[in-house]
Amino acid sequence: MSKPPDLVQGTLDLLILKILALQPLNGWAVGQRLKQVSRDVLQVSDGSLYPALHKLEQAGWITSEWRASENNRRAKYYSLTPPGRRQLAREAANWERLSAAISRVVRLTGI
Amino acid sequence: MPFERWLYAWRARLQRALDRERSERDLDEELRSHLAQEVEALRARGVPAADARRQALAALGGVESVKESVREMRPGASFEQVCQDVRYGVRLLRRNPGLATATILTLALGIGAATTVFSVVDAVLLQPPSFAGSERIVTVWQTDPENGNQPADVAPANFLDWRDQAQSYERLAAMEPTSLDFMGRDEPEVFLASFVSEGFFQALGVTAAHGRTFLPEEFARGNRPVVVLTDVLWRRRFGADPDLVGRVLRLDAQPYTVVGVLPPSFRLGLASREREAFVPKIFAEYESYIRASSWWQVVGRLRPGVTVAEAQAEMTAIAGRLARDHPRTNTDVGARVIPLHTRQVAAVRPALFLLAGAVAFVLFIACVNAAGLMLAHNSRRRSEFAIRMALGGGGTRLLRQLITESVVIAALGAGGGLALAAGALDLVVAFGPAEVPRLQNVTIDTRVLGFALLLVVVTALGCGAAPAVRTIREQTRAIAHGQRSGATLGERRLRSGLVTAEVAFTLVLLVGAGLLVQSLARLVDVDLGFAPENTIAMQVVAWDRHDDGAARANFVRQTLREIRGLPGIEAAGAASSFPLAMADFTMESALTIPNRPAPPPGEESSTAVSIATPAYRETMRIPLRQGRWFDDLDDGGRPPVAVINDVLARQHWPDREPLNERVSVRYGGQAIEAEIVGVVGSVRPRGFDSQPRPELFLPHAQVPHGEMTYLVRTARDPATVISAVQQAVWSVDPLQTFYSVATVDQLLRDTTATRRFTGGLLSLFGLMALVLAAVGIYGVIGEATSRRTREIGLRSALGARAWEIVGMVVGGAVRLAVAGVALGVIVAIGLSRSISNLLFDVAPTDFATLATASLLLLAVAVIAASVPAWRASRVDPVSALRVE
Repeated sequence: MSKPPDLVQGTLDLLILKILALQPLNGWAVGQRLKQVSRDVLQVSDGSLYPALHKLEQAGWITSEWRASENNRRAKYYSLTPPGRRQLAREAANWERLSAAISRVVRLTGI
Repeated sequence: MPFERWLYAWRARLQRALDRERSERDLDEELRSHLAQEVEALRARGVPAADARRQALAALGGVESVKESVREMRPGASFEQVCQDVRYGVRLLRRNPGLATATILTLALGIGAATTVFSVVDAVLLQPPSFAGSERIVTVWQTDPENGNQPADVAPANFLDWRDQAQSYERLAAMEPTSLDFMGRDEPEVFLASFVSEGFFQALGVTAAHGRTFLPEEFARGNRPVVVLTDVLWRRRFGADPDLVGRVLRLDAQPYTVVGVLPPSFRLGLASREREAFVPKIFAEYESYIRASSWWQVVGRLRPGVTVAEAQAEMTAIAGRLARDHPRTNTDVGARVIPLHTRQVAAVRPALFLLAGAVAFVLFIACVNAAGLMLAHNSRRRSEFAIRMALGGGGTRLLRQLITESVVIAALGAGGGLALAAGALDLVVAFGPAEVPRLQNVTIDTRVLGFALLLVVVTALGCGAAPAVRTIREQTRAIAHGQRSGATLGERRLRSGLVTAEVAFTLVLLVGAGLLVQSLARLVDVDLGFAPENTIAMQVVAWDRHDDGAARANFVRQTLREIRGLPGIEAAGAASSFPLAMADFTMESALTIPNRPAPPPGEESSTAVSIATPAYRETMRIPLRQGRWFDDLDDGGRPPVAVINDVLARQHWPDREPLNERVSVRYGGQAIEAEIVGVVGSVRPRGFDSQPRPELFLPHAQVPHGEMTYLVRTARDPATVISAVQQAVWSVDPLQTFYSVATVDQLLRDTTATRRFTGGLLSLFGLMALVLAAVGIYGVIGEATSRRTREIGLRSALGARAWEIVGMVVGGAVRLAVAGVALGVIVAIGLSRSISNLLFDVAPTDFATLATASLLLLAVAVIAASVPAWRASRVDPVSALRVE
């Protein structure tokens, strides 16, 4: 589990962790929040969302539980585990470093 | 993976692995819930119901395809694969029952033997004694160059000086062996007892289970006598009577108050017979002079922070001072500090280490055999592997499957091994030597189960992983180079190498077993100084029933006469000291020679003093060297006489005859001066490997001692006459009882119990190894022969004779065996030092033993190869050449 994550996959994981850090949500709601916060820039298909959720659960970052949704429908809610919260902090820091570095490269002039 | 995360992850994985259907249902429901929410959201935006459902499904990208990618995403998929592999492995084993049984049995033998020995080693060597703070409890011994500086009992005056001078101990206490005659309601009995000095129980950290141990004032002269009993005695003799504490028992005809009973766990483990009763040691004035005779044992509790090495250094310094102050007795006499646990197991430790090493060899050999069987198994499955790899099955996946299969086999082997061990342990507990401390505690506990689990992992990796890696590497190469299936050269070399190692280890075991068995044979061949065959030893305590000396003399004379009158009795005599018997009534005394200058008090030389009847010498067949033995006329009406043994004679009269010399010894607090009338041969007092000691005999008619061992020589099997002999004693006194009755042969066998146990187990291990090695050789040669069927067919077609083919096959086996034997001889010689202290009169590199073991192994190799050889000689050239 220590191999460098694929950039896109790793990014999706980071986003999911970040969203779940704010509140426990069910799969559908995670998708809605993703579209909402990224202002539809990140087109994450619902199909790729569930494998990612299950992988994070199997890795121990998030945990799930069945409960009633706002409109009284049974839904599986995901929430961050304490190790997941630490993982989010690490990943976010990594991301900041990486994006800052890429920005610097992109802004280079005079080549 | 950090533990916390691991916990979350495994909860999720385990849930799914345990209930796959439910997790599928969960996923199904989750996706349905997703669709429902999406449809609701779309309809809220005004999308018609039919369209909303279609759009939602399209956005998800197909329910089944999402499910599939979710399943693939699960990292714990490997866990499911393991379950799959286990099921597959079990199926495969059931399809190959012969091979599976062989492998599992092989491992069960190895694991069973290893687990049995581990249980014993764990209970005896690794578990600490049951005393509080036992790591601080030490024993302190006196060493003397005369007996090779072995730790030995301590002289009273030396103990007193140690106790006064040493700073290392919180407590230092002495024990002095004694016996207490108990005249109870029904049967008289002798309790093995110890006088213990103040602080003895505190040194051991023992408190009484009922009542208390001794108070300081109870160690002062003039107080009422008190006694503390062990749990064993309390249960055996007093039926665990809860009201015993406070009661008065008549011991040695004196009233002793029972003040306490020790806990059941109390076991000192310093002698093969535990002491059963403890009484306070009240020091006598003369004891502070005695340095030449040693019969005390010393235990101490180190002060916190003091190491054994520091205590030893202090004791060495004190012993040095004592040597300067008392040069006559203490020159070169040292002091040795030994932790209690070390001392308890000292006698059996080398034997147990040897057995542990031997069983490791057996386990290795079993693993090698199992590995060979697995290799054979794998090479038969080449086409399966080839297909799987051609279809894209990864090497890692295949490796995992092979290892899982070997874990299944090893686990089944361990199950069989544990069953074997459980049976074997019952035998060990029942028949193991009494000398081994805590042997009765040996059980299969969690530590042993943990050990067995470890063995499963080790054997699974040893006999499964190495062959698996090898198989897969060969397979990959075979695919790349388009080789045909069949055992490859590398595999064959590996198997030959393993069998060579197996033969080598077997040889080492056989040599070890051979050396021990020979030692035992030479040991029991040692001249004891008396003839032990067909003799009964029966201990009688006659103090209380016959409290007058003349009555005792009369009682002994009469009972012996009755016994001699029985049919089948050749001779009957009695002596006070027959140390092989259960209670050792040996008396020690200072010896002085009246017409020589007397040494300072306490520095007299000492001798064992034995009281014997006229028929004793003849009954025991002790040779007479000079003068005469006692006769019926040596009674109280005649001047005192004594007979000495040749050790004592050489010690004091090295250059002249001791006959008619006068000697003085102490008996019952009085000096007895007697004239030496004879010299007899010396006996080995404690069995074959004990050394003769100086001994002086006095006639029972003149010194009517109360504790006598009757020795009765019979014409036929002595066991059949025992009850008749007891009846004869009862015809004189119907209330007389016997402290112990046994045949002398049995008593002698007890002295060699540990040697026989070790030798027997090692022989058993050697035999197991031999069988396993034979199976290993058979496997390799059989495989090689069937591989060479074509070649053999060709040879016989070209005119080779049957015996030439047999020779070729057997030659292969002999080459393997010779290589293994050569390696084994080197290992055996290398290890010879580790066994040398268990041997008696045999060199650890004894040529005859090495040669015999080598020849035996070669013979077994030839026998193992003879079946494939016979088969090879019958190969029909025509059909052999048509194969493939």
